[in-house]
Amino acid sequence: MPASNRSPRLTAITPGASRSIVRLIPVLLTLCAAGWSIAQTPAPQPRADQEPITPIPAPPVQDQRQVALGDRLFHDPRLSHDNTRSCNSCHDTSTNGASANPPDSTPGAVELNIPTVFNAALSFRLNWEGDLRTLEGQIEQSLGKPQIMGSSVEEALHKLQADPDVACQFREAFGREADGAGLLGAIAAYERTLLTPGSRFDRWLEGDVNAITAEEFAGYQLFKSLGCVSCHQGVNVGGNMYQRHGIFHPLASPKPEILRVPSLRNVAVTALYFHDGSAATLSKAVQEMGYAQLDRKLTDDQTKAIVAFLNTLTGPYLGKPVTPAGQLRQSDAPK
Amino acid sequence: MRPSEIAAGVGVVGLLLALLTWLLVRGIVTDAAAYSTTLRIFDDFALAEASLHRDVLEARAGLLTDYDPLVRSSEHIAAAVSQLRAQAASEGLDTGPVDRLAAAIKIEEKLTERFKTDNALLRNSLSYVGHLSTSLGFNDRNFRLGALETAILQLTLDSSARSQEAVEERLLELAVQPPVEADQGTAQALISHVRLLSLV
Repeated sequence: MPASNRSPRLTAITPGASRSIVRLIPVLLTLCAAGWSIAQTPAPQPRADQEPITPIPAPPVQDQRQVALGDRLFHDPRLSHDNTRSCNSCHDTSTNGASANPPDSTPGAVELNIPTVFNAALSFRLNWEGDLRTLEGQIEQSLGKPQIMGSSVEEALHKLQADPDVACQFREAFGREADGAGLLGAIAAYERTLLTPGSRFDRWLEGDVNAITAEEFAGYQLFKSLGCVSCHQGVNVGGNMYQRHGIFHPLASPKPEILRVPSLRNVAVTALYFHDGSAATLSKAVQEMGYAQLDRKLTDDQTKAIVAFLNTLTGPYLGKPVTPAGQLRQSDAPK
Repeated sequence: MRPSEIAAGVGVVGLLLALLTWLLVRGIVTDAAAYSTTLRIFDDFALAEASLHRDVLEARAGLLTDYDPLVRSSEHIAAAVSQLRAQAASEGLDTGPVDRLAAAIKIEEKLTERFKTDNALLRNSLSYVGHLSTSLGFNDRNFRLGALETAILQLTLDSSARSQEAVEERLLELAVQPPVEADQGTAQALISHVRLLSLV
């Protein structure tokens, strides 16, 4: 049949056809609604007792006077030898509890990426190498390290005791004169409050099925099925075991060989990634981890899904979402 | 009743009274509280250690999917040992046995950490094998890889020498007859995971 004869028949709408289309409209509307509904489908209900990740609890009940003193000391530059840096200089609690500065490769400098102080209290060991068990021990080490504070508990205490206001606050908080145990204990008490409960993923774990999307849930399923969750589990999504890096292929700097598995809490806003800060983006970090630790070359879709899940781990601190850090001023950066 | 029998009865009653009095005095001596405290610490220690052993077994079996309970048990054990040391010191006792217990706990902690590290790798590799075995059509194209996956899964149920030999045999077969070119990358990854499994 010539094309010229076929065309009018295809384009003409007969009265019967018109009636069929009218009848189809409700069906089409129903299908559209169904499609919209699928796109908005909440993630399935979690089985809280069977998930490998648990929600962040509320901060522990502590003496608020000690916490307030710790807050003050955490932000006090007199804790450093030259009075230029406080704990907050590298662990900015107004952003992500860390800094965006890359590790310094100069000899004697801080060569490892600065981890966030948020939720550090939930990890079983501290530092990348996991060589410290207590917050007090970690604070004492940071005070003494020449590359960080270049000071000591005694030196910091000497300066603080000369300040009548701080000395008074010490007495009120501990019922005794300022001492080393009080100094470390107060900062540790403050750090125990630096938790970020209430992330979207935690809300999902607690039963709010609308807290994460179907895509984010699919990313979580992939996170589990690929094996990421074997190391990144528990309340801190990591931070409760040691692991070698570069199991199948090299990953970042070869030293240290054994690392405390880092927490993935707030990971979407705590670039740079890895112990040497060599991954600038979360996507790159996910792909490199998949290849080095699991021997999987993740597709772009898989990477995107896992990153979508990791985004749900960002929680709030003092009612505001944790945000990426800015670059430190040169004077604040560790030497 | 003869006087000798009465005297014997009085004697027995007297002895009983003396014994009961001694027990009563013994029950209110000051070190009873210390004894009770020490006993409670031992109970805490035993409970934490039993929990740790249970958690390790559950984690190995895949019934426990996070290591936080193991961390908590280890912390409770360490706390109990510290309390025992403090208690021994406060009572002026020899702390040597507590030191030996602490040394044993340190070894147990190292073993626990090694278990967590190895178990994570084990689960990663098993999840890879499981992932391949459920990939549509993969095993149809590569029956030798499918045979290797089956041997690995059998090993998770039966870790006898025979099962280990079966895995080695499947690996040798693969070396002789590699899979189709399109799947060689996957095959290599599977073999890497199998090799890793043999180490953990």
